[in-house]
Amino acid sequence: MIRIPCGAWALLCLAFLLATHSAAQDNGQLHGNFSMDAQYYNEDDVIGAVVPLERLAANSWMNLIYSRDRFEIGGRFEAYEPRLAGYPAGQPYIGSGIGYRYAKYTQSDLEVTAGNFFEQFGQGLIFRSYEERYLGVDNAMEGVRVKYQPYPGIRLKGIIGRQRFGFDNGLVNGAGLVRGVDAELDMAELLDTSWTCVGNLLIGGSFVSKYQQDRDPLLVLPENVGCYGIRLNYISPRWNLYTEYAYKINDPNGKNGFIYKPGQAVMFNITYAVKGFGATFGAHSFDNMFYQSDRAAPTPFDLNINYLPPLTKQHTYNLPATLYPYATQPNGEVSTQGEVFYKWKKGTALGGTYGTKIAVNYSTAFALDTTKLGIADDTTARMGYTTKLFSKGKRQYFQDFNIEIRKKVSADWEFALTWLNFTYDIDIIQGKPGKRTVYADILVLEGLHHFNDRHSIRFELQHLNTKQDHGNWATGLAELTFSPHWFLAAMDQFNYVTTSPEEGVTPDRIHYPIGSVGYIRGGNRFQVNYGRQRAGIFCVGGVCRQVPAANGLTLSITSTF
Amino acid sequence: MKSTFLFFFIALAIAGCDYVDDPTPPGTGGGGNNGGDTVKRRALLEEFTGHRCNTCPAAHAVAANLTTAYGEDLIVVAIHATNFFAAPVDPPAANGSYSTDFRTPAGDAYATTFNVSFLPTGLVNRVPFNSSTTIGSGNWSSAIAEIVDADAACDIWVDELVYNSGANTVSAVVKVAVLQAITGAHNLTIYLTEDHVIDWQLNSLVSPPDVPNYDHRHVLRTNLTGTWGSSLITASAAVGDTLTLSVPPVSMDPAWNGTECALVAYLYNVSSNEILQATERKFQP
Amino acid sequence: MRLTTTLLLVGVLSIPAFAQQRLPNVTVQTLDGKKVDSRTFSNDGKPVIVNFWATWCAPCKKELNAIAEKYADWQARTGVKLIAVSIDDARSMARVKPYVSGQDWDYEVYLDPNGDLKRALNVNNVPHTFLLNGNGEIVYQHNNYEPGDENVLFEQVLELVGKKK
Repeated sequence: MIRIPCGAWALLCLAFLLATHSAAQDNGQLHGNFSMDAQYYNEDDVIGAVVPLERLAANSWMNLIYSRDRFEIGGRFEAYEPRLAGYPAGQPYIGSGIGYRYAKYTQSDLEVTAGNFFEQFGQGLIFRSYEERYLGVDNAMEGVRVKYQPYPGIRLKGIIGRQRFGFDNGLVNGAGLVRGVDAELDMAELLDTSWTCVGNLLIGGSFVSKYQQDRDPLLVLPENVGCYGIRLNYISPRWNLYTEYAYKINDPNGKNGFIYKPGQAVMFNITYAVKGFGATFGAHSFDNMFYQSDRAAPTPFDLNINYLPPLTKQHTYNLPATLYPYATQPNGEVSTQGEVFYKWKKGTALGGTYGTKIAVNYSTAFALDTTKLGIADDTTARMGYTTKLFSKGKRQYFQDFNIEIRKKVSADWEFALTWLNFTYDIDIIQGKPGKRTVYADILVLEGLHHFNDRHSIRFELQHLNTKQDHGNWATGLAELTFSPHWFLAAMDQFNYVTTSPEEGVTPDRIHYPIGSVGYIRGGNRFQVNYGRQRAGIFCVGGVCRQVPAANGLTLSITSTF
Repeated sequence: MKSTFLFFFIALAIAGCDYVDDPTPPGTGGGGNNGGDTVKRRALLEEFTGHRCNTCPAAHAVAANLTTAYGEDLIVVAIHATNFFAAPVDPPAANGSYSTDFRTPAGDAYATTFNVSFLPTGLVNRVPFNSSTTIGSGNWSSAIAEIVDADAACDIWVDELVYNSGANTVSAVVKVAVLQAITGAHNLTIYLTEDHVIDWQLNSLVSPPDVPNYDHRHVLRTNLTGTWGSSLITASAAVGDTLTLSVPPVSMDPAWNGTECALVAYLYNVSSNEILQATERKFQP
Repeated sequence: MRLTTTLLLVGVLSIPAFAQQRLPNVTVQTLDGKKVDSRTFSNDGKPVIVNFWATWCAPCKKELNAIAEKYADWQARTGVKLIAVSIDDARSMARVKPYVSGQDWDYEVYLDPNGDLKRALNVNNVPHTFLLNGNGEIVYQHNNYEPGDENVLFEQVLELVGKKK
């Protein structure tokens, strides 16, 4: 386990701050944020609520950034005493300490960072180091990053380091070493007046490689595994065309059964946008693209080097977002998506007095068509299977069609009506083999009423209709807001199940009521929730993690200063 | 100065990648012995599993392959744990599937202590590998290879095993011979495991995935010495010492098949959890 | 270790009033693919609103739509400019330009796909709004959105330009 000596660093930090403070107060600035989620758990056998031994759990973070002229140093103190149930997604976080710290120097064409950093090459298809703190994803790099612009229009980035793996009274890094380089050319900026095309063309290329020792006695595993990528982005006022290709050489890992087949990924996306109308169409195909810096990382949530987002719409309403979310299948999938946004202007027939907005979305995901080869056959060198990109397999993993209409009907009333239709292969996506594909319809009605300038009430009625899985759900939500400081909300989700599901067992009809109160002032926000939280699903890379059901009191504090 | 940075980028770009033509290393077939005098350290793989963990059979296959490769040098125990994967289905299924509770209080305690929530996972001598004590099945081979390579600090064996099939009790005497000086508190834990338990298992590798007659191997049934074992070394032990632990008769569940049972005993360091040496003795050899 | 971190926190909290915060030096992208330094966000000496949002954040979209209805009026009276920084990552980044066009917004929209500007300004979650005065200093910030918050924001803008409501 690699421990960071934080005591010495913290003292150095403090000394530096006080020293510069006592000197002339030039342009030195210190700012940061604080965030805490604490929960007190009640017993609740009806929903199978989890109750940790400590009864009270809290995740807390404090970030501080000190910047002055060209220098910047920052750090984050984290405390999990203990961590909330179901958090984080991968390797557990224990105790408290410094989980992130860095020093950065910037000048006109050069930026150097030492310590922890987040970075992305292009869209992240080959390399993305990022955090989604509240979901529990954090694969920060620890090492060195150099960003250099040798000539206007040419941007170079280089990184080398290890990834964050877990937290045990301090940062714990993974076993593998990651290094990469990225170059991007902005043709309009580079060629300046010689560039006469209407739009702009960005060309990028990157190479990332990971090193991990081979300590396996039974196989010869490649210690350096590289991944190449090239990308092209053409942007004009109305059109935007993006395409990217990635190729990963042999990467036998725990998620693909230790086969020596190379991996490939292709993605492209076209968008068209004019005032009042926008459309986007995209497609991607992944084959054997799990790329973790520890080839046998304990879970699919750990140490991911690349980022393979699902080509589906991220829903904001409770039922579609938390019951049947799609997760990319990095080992093989073919996916397409199309979305259209349109606004009927005020005064037109459908627009009415205030205008009407509509959004239509359609996305699908299929298995990749593969032909298995015999793994034990050495003449095929453990290649696993053969396939072609974009060759759709028979199995459909996911389909989502939805229409959303928003309209302000009077000065005080606004409504939104959404219809969603899902085809969801719960067997593959959530890892529940034997369960039938879920066909579900969801209808959501949202309304907003302004009592006056400051007070309003927003309500949502959601209904999910399906004959599979847990049957029907209904959700009702009401939120009273007293601008600018207070809000009150109450929500109930009810699994009322009109027909017995195909599994042959009728589960109990359970209510999940929850109430919230919140207070906001400036950059500070306090929120208290009390009630039952339904078990949630969090999916990454084809594996879904159950966030357990809970009952109790939750306190959230966020502050930016 | 600027050319240094350009050089940095070029160096990174040539960082390299290994393309492997032949995955099988040359001359793999049992390593040579360096003499029968040194006792080798045996590896104990405690794999966490559950009858509703559909990805676990793949890990069981990995463990089975490793047992073939290492023979007596590797001992495997399957600990059924976590509510999500190992608890019996509630409400009970019409065909009685997944109704057996394979969990044990000791197994639950280990799962909590070692932060086990994602299955399949395993502990190899409870020593961290790649910064993590819980090890994914992909790394078991490497982790075991490192343990088995070393000379043992002690040898351990079940000197006496008395199984009374009529009364369904078992008692044992376990001995430890110290080969290198040992310091610190060490406890001795004894598991009772049952092999070849036929019951339901969810298996994503087959269709349909519900397998009624799956062969569960090395299932942890109970601890003869309690969850955390009995104290054997309090401060230190010198080379040449022989320590003995005698366990009075412990009741067994009549449903357990005595002919397939075995005792697994291991000595571990109380503060670091590291298992120094382990042994297995079947009721019927 | 706990002692030194406590000392650090005490030291930090005992430093009196912080200097007025300016926007940090972070690269963001325009919807045309150009790279822009956030320090160059300015409005010729007039106030600037910097608002963090995402296409998957319902309150964020409500806020920007509510302001869109009053934006012309705001600009006429105070000259204020609203810069909307989207923290959509690769998953939904392609959707930003069509969405903005579909809503018919007149804001300056930038993309912050890996959350660099969001982290540099210590934003915890969206929506989060900053108000900068004519000198580029942050004088007001607000987290969360409730219908009616945009009026409070506008009052702050009016104060900056010295006008009454």
